[in-house]
Amino acid sequence: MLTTAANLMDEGGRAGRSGAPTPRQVRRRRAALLQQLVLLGALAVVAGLIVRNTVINLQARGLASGFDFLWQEAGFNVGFSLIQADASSTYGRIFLVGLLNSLLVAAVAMVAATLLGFLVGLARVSPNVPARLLSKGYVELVRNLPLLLHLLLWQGVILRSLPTVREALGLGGVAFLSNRGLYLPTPAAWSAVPLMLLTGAVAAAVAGLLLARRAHRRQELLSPHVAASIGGLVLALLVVTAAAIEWEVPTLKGFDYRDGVKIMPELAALIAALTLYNAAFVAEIVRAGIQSVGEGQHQAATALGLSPRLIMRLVIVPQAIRVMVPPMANQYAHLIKASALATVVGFPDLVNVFMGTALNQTGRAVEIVVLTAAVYLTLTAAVSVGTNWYARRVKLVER
Amino acid sequence: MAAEALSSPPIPRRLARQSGVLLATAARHPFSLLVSLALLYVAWIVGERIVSWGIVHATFVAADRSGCDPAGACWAFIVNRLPQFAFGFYPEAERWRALLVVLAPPALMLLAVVPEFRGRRAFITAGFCLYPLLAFTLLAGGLPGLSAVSTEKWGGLTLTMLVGMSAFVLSFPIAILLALARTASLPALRLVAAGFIEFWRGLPLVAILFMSVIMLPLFLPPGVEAPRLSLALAGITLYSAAYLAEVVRGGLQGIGRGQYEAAGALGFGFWSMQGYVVLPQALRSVVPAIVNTAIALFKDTTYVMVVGLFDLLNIVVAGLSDAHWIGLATEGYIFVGVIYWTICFGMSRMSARFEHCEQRRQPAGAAAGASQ
Repeated sequence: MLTTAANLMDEGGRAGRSGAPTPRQVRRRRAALLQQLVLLGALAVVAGLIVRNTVINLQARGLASGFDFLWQEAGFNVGFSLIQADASSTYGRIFLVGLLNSLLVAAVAMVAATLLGFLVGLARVSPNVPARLLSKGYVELVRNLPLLLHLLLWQGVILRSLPTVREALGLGGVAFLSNRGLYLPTPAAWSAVPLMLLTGAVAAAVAGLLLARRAHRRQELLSPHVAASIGGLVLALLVVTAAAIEWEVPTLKGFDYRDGVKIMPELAALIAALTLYNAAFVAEIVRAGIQSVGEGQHQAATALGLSPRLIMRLVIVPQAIRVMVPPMANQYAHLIKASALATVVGFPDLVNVFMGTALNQTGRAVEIVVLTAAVYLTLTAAVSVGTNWYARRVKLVER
Repeated sequence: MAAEALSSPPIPRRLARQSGVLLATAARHPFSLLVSLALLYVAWIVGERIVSWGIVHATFVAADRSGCDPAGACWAFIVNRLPQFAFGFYPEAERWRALLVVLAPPALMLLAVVPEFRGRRAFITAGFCLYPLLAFTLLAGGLPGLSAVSTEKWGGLTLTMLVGMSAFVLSFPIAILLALARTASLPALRLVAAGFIEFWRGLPLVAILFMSVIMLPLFLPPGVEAPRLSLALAGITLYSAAYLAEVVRGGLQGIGRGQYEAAGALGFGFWSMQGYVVLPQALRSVVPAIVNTAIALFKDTTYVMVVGLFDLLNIVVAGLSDAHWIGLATEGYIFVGVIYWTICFGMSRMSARFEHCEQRRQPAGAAAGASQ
């Protein structure tokens, strides 16, 4: 039974409340109240001193304050952005660009690290000796090196192995790859026909997912014919859509490609480093989860005649997931925070464009730091809320 | 009894059994055997190339890049710059001070594995606790006999060691206080501690470092200036304290209420109860987690690069752009990687060994407790 000092004392207090409080309990309660008031008072004094110092320091440096700068024109270009942004954008829009970039990096790396980590984690417990050795070597090599070293290494490898803009690799004449990035065509204009086709593709995919879910609820698998025909339909619709759109193909003009969208090599380096580094940790979580499932489960499933693959999928993994959820939540939070390393390689994430460039230009240190901190605190809180919800969903229902 | 059941057979028999298992697996899964052979072949090719590049064709002594054999690694770059990588821009005549700072932590850890002598424990504890103060004083100088050296000249492995060790040692008392506060009976105290911990745990270290360099000078009384290194160290210390506090709290939650009741019955006050009864058990039970935090912290010290401090990684990266040694990124990164890997892997092995010893001790201890 686990108890803390807090619980112990709470229980003591509750026991006292049932009868009339003894003078000793009254004295204790008064002392506790006084202690808390002293603590809060001391904190208020410290906070007051800090605010006073900050105000004096800001005035001495002649820095303005207030959030009005968010509506001012920023006057600088951002190297990569998911939404329309240029030099005439406001600081508010720059904030949004940085936030979306951070989210993009974190989301892609999260999915990739989970997939790779699961694979490596399963290899860690596989009966195949070379697979076990190889995955162990990967985990021990990767997780004992600083993430920043991984990042610089990948940046170096990617930048050095790519050709210059003049000798860019043409990929089918529509996409180009150089050391300044991957240039992809963008749709020039959306007319009614491709939009309708795209809607059809999405609808077909959704219908397929719903069918699969219904089958799953009846503990069946979707019949292969249905699955294949739905997949084929979605694919065909997507191909037709791509053909129906007018594409803006990047073309070499002067020293760089114009038109189309450019994906910076820094983004690739960042995602590669985050994925490989976090996958090693995910692999250890998966291994610990699988090893936490009792040997008896394995033996019972084998006795029922299940194949090793089915044992893994139907018996071991569903039970291991419960153990894995809390450490995975920590790992995801860590990954989101680590995406701020983008600033080292010059990818315009939130910290880089907002805490870096915008802060240097406006000097609104307090406001910008508060906004950035609020974003990261919200994101990490969201991860913990999300994983708590998931943990409740996969919790063992005891009858 | 448990120890006997767990003890492994002698090595030749174990080897024979393992190779037997290997052969049986190979016979049952011919495809897996093929994959294994292919992997072995790839490992051989890669290993052969690494040895040929890194040792056989490598150059260890050269004046500059052109003196290196292009077929192999140019370790001469590392050899030439080794003093800088180790001590940063510290004045040459004073480098013995930096050397002491670098060698002190491994020496203290070595003391922990040598045979017991009187006062060993006290000496190691005092050594670690006083390390931040002594290392800072030694490096900064300004005392009679020690000339003053400004913090901008500190760098390389010295800075990495100083930041890592100091942040860890300084964050420990803060972490214990935070953990006690978070499990305390006073709601205001609990709330403040929880808010503090979650704040520092929710922010990226990169942002914390920016914050401490930009915001902390604003918080200080007007006219007070602090070097960048101290500001960054303050940020890292609070960050690490928040993580450690959660680890310590985990340990506190594992202490049964009987321990509190017994200590209370013996007339222990709050602090002596924590100091003599609760914390020794709580901390002992979370040693592996504490070491993991220390490893993570040591790797995270590389982040000081973003505020322009020249730790080991940053000084090597800066050295890569030297015109005499251009294009030697691979050698530089391998050098840094080997150092970090050795330290981190060594620490994790140490923690695993400790855990193993504890587990072996546990059943015996429990039995002794039951028989009394």
